[in-house]
Amino acid sequence: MLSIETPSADSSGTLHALWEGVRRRDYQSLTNLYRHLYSDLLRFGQRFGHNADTTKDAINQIFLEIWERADTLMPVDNVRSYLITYLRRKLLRVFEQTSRFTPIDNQEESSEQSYEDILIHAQQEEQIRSRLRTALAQLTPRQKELIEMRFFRGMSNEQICQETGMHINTVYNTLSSALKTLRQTLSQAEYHNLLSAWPLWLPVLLQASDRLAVQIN
Amino acid sequence: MKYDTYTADDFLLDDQFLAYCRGNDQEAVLFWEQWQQANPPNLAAFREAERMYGILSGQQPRLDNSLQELEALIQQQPTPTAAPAPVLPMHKPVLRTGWWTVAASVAALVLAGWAGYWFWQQQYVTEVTAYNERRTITLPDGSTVALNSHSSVRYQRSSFTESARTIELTGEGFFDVTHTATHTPFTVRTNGPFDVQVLGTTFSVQNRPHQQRVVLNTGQVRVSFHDAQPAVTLQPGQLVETSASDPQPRQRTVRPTLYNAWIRNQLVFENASLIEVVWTLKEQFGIPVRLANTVSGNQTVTGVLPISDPETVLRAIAELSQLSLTKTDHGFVLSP
Repeated sequence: MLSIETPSADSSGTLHALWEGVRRRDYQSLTNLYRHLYSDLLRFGQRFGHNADTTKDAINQIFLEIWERADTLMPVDNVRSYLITYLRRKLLRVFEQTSRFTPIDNQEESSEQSYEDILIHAQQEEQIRSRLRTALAQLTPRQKELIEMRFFRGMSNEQICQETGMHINTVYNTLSSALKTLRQTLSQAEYHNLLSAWPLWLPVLLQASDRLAVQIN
Repeated sequence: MKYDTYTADDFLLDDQFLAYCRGNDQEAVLFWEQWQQANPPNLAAFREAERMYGILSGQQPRLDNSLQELEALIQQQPTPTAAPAPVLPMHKPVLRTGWWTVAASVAALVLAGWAGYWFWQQQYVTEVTAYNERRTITLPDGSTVALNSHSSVRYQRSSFTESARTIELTGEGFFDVTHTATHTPFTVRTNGPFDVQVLGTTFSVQNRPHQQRVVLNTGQVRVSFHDAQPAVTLQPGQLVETSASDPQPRQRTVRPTLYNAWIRNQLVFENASLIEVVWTLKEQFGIPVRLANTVSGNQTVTGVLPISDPETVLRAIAELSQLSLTKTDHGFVLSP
C-alpha cells in the first residue's frame, strides 16, 4: 500500500531535469532537487517510525553521497521513488547500528505509523505525550484529517480546499475549532506553571488589594 | 500592522506563517524574522504558534536549516576536483563563467558574510538570575560579573571592542574587570541615576528600585550621574549611594566586603534599619515581608546570616531584633 502522499505540483519532468543537472555537476540542480523532495522524504521517514531529526540526517547523507559521485550517476526514470528507496535503505542501516545496543522491540521498518503516533513519538516528555494523546482524541476524524494536511503535510488553505472539495470558509472554521481544542488541552501545563510561580505575581496582587483597602477605608 | 493583533490561532492559519515555520520560502522567512525583531506586543502568541507547529508537524526541521547543514557537509568534503575531469567534446558549449561572474559571486558572498556577522554582533546577550539564585558570568573580554538574585545584565556583542566595553545592569552585580593592554574603558550603564566607568578593578553595583549604590574594592572607578550632579571618583573602600527617599548622592568610607557578602552566600547587616532589611529580603527571595504597625522600621539589625531558605533567614532576623515571626497566606509578618 502506498500511502505516501503524492507530491502536489512537482511533475516528474521537473525532477528528471534536475537529476540530469546533478549528473552534469550543476550545484543549483542539487539544491533545487533537495527543495523539491525534502519534505516528502522527511515524512516518509517519519511514517516508518524514525524521528524527524534522524531522517533529516539520513536525507543529508544521501544527497552528500549523490553529489560526491555525481559524475558516475546513472539516469533514473522515477527520481522520487529512487530517492525514497535510497532513504529507506539508509534509515534501515542507521536503525541496525543504533539498535545493536538496545533490545529489539519489533516496531521497526514496514509498520506504518499513524499521524497521532508520529506526533506522540516526537515528544520527549511523558507529561506532554499523555496530554497530546488526550488532545488528539478529542478531535473529530475530519478535524484530524485537516490538521494533518496543514501541519504535517504543510498544505496551504487553498490546497486543502482543492484536495477535499470543501469550501474555504469550512476549511478555515474546521481548523480553527480544532486548534482551539488542541491548545486548550495542551496549555494546561502552562496554567500549572503559572500557579507555581506565585512568588512573582502574588506581591503585585497584594499591593493592588492593599491599595483597594486604603480606598475603601 | 495587522499581524500585531494576531492570536496564536491566527498565526497558525496564516499561509505565510506556515511557510516561515517550514523554512521553504525565503521571503516569508525574512519577513517573519524582521517582524520578530521589531518586538511586537503579541510575540508570546507568535512563540506559542511556533510551539504548536512544532508539535503538530512531528518536530519537522526547517527546510532552509537542513539545506544549510547539507551545504556545510559538502564544503567539508574534499571537493571531487581530484577525480579525473570528464573529457568533453570540443564543440559542446561549456557553461560560460566570465571573470566578472566569479568576481560578482565572491563580492556577494563577502557582503552576505559581513552582513550576517554585523547582524550577529548587534544581537543582545542577556543573562538573568531568578530569586535566590546567584551566578557568575564571563564576558567576552574575560571580565566576570557575579549576579545576585533577581538581577540581569545585557550587552551587544559589538559593544566589546578595542576602544570601549559597555554593559547594562539591573539588580546587583559584583564586577571583576580585566585591565587591557590598550586601557579600554569599561562602562556599566544602569536605568537608575548613574553609570560607572572603570579601567580594571573590582567593585559592586546595586541598582534596585529602592536603593542604588557603587562600592569599590580595588582600583578606581568614576560614577557619572544621569542628571546634572557632578561625577564622583571613588577610592578603594569608598561607597556612593542614592535611594528612593534620598536622591542626593552620599559618599562615605566603608568595609567593602560587607556589601558583597552575597558572593560568599552571606547576608551581612551592620546597623541596617529594619526597612532596609525587609527590602533586601524582598530582592533576595521575592516574597512579601511586612512589619506590623507597632514595629519601628528604624530599629537596627546587626548580624551575619547564611543565605538559605527564606523562612530560616527570617527566623534569624526575628530573633536578632527580638520580634516574632508569623507566616500568613500573604507572606510573612514581623511583630513584637
